[in-house]
Amino acid sequence: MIPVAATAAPAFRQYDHDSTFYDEMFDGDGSPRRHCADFFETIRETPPDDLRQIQERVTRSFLHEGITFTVYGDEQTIERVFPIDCLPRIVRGDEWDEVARGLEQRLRALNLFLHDIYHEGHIVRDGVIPAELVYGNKHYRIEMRGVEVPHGAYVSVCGTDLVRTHDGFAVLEDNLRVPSGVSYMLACRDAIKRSMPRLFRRSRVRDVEHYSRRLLETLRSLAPPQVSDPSIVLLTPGVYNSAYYEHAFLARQMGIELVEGRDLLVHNRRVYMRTTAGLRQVDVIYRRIDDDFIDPVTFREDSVLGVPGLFHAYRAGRVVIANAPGTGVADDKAVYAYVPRIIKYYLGEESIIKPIPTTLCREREGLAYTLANLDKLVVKMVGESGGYGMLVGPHASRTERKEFAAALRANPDNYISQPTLALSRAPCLVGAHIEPRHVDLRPFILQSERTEIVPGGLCRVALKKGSLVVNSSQGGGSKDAWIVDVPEAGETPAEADG
Amino acid sequence: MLARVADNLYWMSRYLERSDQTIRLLGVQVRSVTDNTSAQVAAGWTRLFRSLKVTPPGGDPLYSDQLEDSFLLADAYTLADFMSFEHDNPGSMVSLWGMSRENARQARQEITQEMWGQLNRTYLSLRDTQLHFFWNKEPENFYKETSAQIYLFRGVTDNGLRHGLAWDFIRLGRFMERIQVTTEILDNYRPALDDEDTDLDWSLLLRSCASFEPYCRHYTPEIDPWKVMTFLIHEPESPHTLRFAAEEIRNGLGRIDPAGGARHPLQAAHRIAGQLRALLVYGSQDREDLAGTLAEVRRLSRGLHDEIYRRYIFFPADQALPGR
Repeated sequence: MIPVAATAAPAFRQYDHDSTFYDEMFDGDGSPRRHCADFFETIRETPPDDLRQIQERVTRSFLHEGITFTVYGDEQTIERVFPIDCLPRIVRGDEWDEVARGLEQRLRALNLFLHDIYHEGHIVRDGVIPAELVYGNKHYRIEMRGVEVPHGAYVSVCGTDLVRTHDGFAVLEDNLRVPSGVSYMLACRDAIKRSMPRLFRRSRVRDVEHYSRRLLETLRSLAPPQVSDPSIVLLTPGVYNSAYYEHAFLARQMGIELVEGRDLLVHNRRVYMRTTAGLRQVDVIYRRIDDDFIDPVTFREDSVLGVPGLFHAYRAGRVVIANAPGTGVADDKAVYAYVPRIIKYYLGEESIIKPIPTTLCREREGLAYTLANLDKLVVKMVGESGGYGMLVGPHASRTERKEFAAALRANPDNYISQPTLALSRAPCLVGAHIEPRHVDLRPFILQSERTEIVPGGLCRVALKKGSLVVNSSQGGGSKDAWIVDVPEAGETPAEADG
Repeated sequence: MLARVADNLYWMSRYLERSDQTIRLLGVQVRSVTDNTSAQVAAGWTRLFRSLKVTPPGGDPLYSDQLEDSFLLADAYTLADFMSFEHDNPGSMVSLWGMSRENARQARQEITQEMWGQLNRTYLSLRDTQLHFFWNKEPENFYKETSAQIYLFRGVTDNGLRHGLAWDFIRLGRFMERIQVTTEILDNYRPALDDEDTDLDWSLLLRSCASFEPYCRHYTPEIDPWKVMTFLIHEPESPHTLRFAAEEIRNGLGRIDPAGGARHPLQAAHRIAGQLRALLVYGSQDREDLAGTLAEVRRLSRGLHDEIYRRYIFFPADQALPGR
């Protein structure tokens, strides 16, 4: 069915209202949802050419600010801008509040879980989660046993991937190690604000700009108690890392030093950075490099990015590392299946955000079910991330499924399966038209003494038509996410414009 | 400030200054084509490559006697292209901008958004420019425009960045590079002073050192070779003279490390900076001492660079452990 409103708007003429998927802007009969109505009206009256110009301006500003990633070719290196879609994804404030409560609950439970498994391990002894999933996990760091972490915040910066279906929001993945993308959220917001200032103001969008301040507060609160004015640094793998822009951006916003491993040294279990005026002690390290690489003495000895002896200084309590080493065990795909039970065990609460039903192939019935329904399920390898080692059953060929089934039978412990989700879609500018594309959302959660969630997040888009993969390496882009408070009845948006 | 970042800022600034010198020399050389003999043009290219210590395509200017002949064969377009847009030539304008930008990227947290934006935008536009876009129109104009982008960068730096350590290292890099390149330019004009037959246009030297107008204000537009030479070495108020650079370097080091220049024993870097300044303020201005003066400036400025490194960038850690 083609709704009247949409036919009247040239930009929406090719918009495909497919009720299989939840649409972020339109309800089932194709009319705009109430919290999107004003935005829709404005866009409807905007010539598609103007929208395209906004898009080009935003892209150019990203290029000039150096918000790029580098593609290394044979002849030369090319810098590309992550594709930005200028139409925001709009989420209703009350829906968001519910999600935020769920995220807070989830992170609280996972931090308790991490404390437990690096101390007494009650949850394992009580048989809630199998020992081998915890202690046999390749991200479990035996070196972290007995280490006390300030405020119990093993994870102080978390970026959870959320998706929406007709059943509401669900967690796709907890990113508890070194989540990235927050600078894109902030850069997107900045660009959108500049290119549609009036519409933005009228829309009562909740602020995200204070993220860097909150992050700095979080890092400060982690400092050893005897240090009154802690020296905080951001540890980056360096300029060749694809997230380098983000590292420099955050360091600048927080006014802290951006250091590489070679800028730091450890003496007498204290960490120092080399400055032009000699060595200066460091109290808190916000590290953006993986566990494996932070200390070649303790972890991977071939790492050239890390700082020899850093982990000893950490164990001695002379320096704080955030996120703590060893958090990867809690965002593992097999442990994911146990998160509702983890929440119940530590908090005595039901999970607020609904889990995606997950089948563990390590269990005999699970394997049988997965093999029998391979054409309907998504099967993922436990240790992998970023869309690798994954089978999307409905999109795979018969041969691909057959090959995957063989691999699965050979090593069932290594796999989990989930139903293929009908990811929600949001309007995106494609050429001169607006078309629906699949999206997800990565909000960022900060945890120290208290939990802080910035309303919004990085909204990733699968720009390829029909694609469900939002990863930037595979044709994904991003867009701004607006959390809006819908005005009460009788109060018109025009009044809010002032 | 991090020692590594100071290093990045210092080099960001040096590369940009070298690019500025290169652009100016190219602009002057491209302009000289219109009203000079082909032998003069060839001699100009030789001086340009020798001053910048770049090996031209097909010859080594430092060791070859046949050089001027080879420049007669090569056309200006090829040479200008090589010095402007050749990515494989580390001394080309676009390579120098690229390296300046790469250093800026690694010191991103210390410089402002506007500084980065200016550096990055200009680099991206240079990267996408080719000589034939403008060669037949107004090549000199292109070099002037690009120079203007550097002035803009400096304006943005001086007016947006806190005048703290980062600013000091940026300034130090600029004047260290300036004193070294200018010394080489002057040294390559020096032989012409004693050459009776030369019809060299000495205003080219003034233009190469962005000092034509300051010179005319100080003297008159009548160009006297010896006055040009001493002006560019000893004049205290024109920003492109050796003495001006030496004063800036000494003052800069004083700001970076006040104690290093005040207490006994003096830091090596401060001592050398003082010697360099003394040479250019109080040293001989006699004609027979010219070659020696330039050689001494070269020796001292190289030594100073090494000492700056030893003191602020690559110091041994065990000498720098603090109490806390």
